[in-house]
Formats: sequence, C-alpha cells, structure tokens
Amino acid sequence: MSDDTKLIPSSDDPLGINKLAVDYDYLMYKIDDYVQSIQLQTHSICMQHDKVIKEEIIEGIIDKNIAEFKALLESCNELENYFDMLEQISFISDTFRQRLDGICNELKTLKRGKVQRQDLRP
Amino acid sequence: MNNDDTQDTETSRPQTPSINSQSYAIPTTYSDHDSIIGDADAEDTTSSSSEDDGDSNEVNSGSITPMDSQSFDAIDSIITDEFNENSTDEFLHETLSLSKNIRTIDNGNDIPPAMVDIPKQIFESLSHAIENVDFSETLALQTRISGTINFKSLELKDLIDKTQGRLQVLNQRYETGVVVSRKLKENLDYSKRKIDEINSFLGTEYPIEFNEARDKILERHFEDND
Repeated sequence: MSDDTKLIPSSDDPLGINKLAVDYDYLMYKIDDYVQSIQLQTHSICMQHDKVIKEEIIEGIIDKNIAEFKALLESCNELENYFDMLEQISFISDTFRQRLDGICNELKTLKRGKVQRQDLRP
Repeated sequence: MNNDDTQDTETSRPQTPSINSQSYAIPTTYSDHDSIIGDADAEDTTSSSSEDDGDSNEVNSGSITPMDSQSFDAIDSIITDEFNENSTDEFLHETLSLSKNIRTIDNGNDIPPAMVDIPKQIFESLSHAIENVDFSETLALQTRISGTINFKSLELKDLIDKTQGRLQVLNQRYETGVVVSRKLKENLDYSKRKIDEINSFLGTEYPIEFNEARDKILERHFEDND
C-alpha cells in the first residue's frame, strides 16, 4: 500500500487525496475481507455444530432415548394386557366357584335324599 | 464573515484522525500550497494565519499541523471566491473544497467536477464492505438445527409425558392386580378343596360311574387336543 502511494508524485497530490483514496479503498477491502472471514468462520462453526448435534447428540443420545421410551411403552402395553388377563381369570374363577358351590349343594341334597331313603327302607 | 466561520470549524477539527496520521501526512508540497494560496488571495491567508496561529509556521513537521488546516482554509477561500453564489451553504462549501482538491490533482482540468455526496459515498462503501457478507446459508443451517432440536425435544417431551401417564395407570392397576391375584388364589384354593371333597365323595359312593365319567372326560380332553 505505501509503496504504491509513494509512487505518486507529490506535486500531483498536494493534499494526499489520492493516497487517502487508496488507503480508504484498502481499508474497505480489509474490512470486507475480515467480515468475509467472519462469515466463513461462522459457517464452519455452524457446520461443525450441525455435525456434532446430528451425529453425536441426536443419533447417539436422543434417538436412543426415544427408542428406549418406545420399548418402555411397548412393555407397558404388554403389562397392561397381563393385568387384563389376570382380571379375566379372576372373573372366571369367581364363576367357577359359584358353579362349584351349586354342585356341592346338589350333592348335599342328593346325599340327604339317599339317607332319607335308607331311613324309610324297612 | 463566512470565511472566518469556516476557518473556525476547520481549525476546531480534531488533529488526530482515526487512521494513522503519519500515513496520511501531507508530503512536503507546501510550495504548491503556497503557489495556490498566492494565486488566490495572499492577504486573506496571511491574515488568517496570523490571527489563528501565530507560531504555527513550522510546516516541515511531516504531519497534519494547524498550518495544514490553514492551507485548507486558503483553498476554501479560493473556492468561496469562485462559487460566491453558494457561499452561504456551508455543507456545499465543504463539498466543493474537496472537489477543488480533486481538480487540483487532475492537473488543471478545467471541467468542474460533479457534485459528489462524499459522506453518502463513504457511508455506502462502508455499508457495502460490512453488509457484503451473506449469512443466509448460515442462518438457514442454524434454523435447520434449531428445528431439528425442537422437533426432537418435543418428541422426547411427548414420550416422557405419555410414559409418565402410562406408569401412573400401571401403578394403579398393579395395586388392584395385587388384590385380584389374592382373591384368585383364594378362589383356586377353595375350588381345589371342594373338588377334592366331591371327588372323594363320588369315588367312594359311586365308584363305577365316577370312573366312567372321568374316562369320558379325559378322552374328550385328548380328542380336543388332537
């Protein structure tokens, strides 16, 4: 930058306007370049974050947790089915007990009738 | 009157620019300044320099000195003479001074330069340099990441809520299931006891019928299995 400006004859640029213009353009170029580098760094950091979040956090942890939760919900459904079966078996056992009580009562009446017939027999 | 005001504003400017002043130091071209000043009006410049800075005649310092501002003032006075009709507009006056400088650099190009809004141009070039970057792709990427995280977070939250609800329901069903299983065990024990009683009674009282019936039931059971 300074080499270029030194080449300008001082008689043509008494107030240094050309040098000022060149320096201003260079400053703008440097600002633009710096901002571009910030953009590139931001983009690369975002890409890195995207990769880390996608591969390590989401695929490694969150998806695994989601799969475990789904398996847990399946186990809950299965357990609930077993509870339903238990209640049905309990209902069946209740009816079976009632039927069995009926049979016992019939047997008792049968036994009582047999005893009465033996008593009536001469 | 207006020249004096302009001189005051020029001399009251900060002498240390934001950029390195050494790189912007006006080289030793004061002979040209003097010639320009001399062509214009020597009395005004000498009077203004003597009034403002009496001891600032050392112009070989190589940096922006009050003498430089005096030179600006001298050029401004020339321009003021040339554009006398616009002498009341201070902003235009300043713009024209820079235009005059450009014309001076162009070695006597007599075509007057166009009116250039220097602050606007500087602002536009700065805006162009700063706002030239395109963060849209990065923003899109960030938005995508944020959306993915939000989606997964909502899915996890939904699953957690659902699982908590199911676990509460299962806890209640377990409480009732314990009672039901006790009752079932009691029923089964009762049934077993009664069946044993009936079997023993029928086996002793009606052994032939009992064995026939049992064989029939066992055969039917096997037939069903086949």
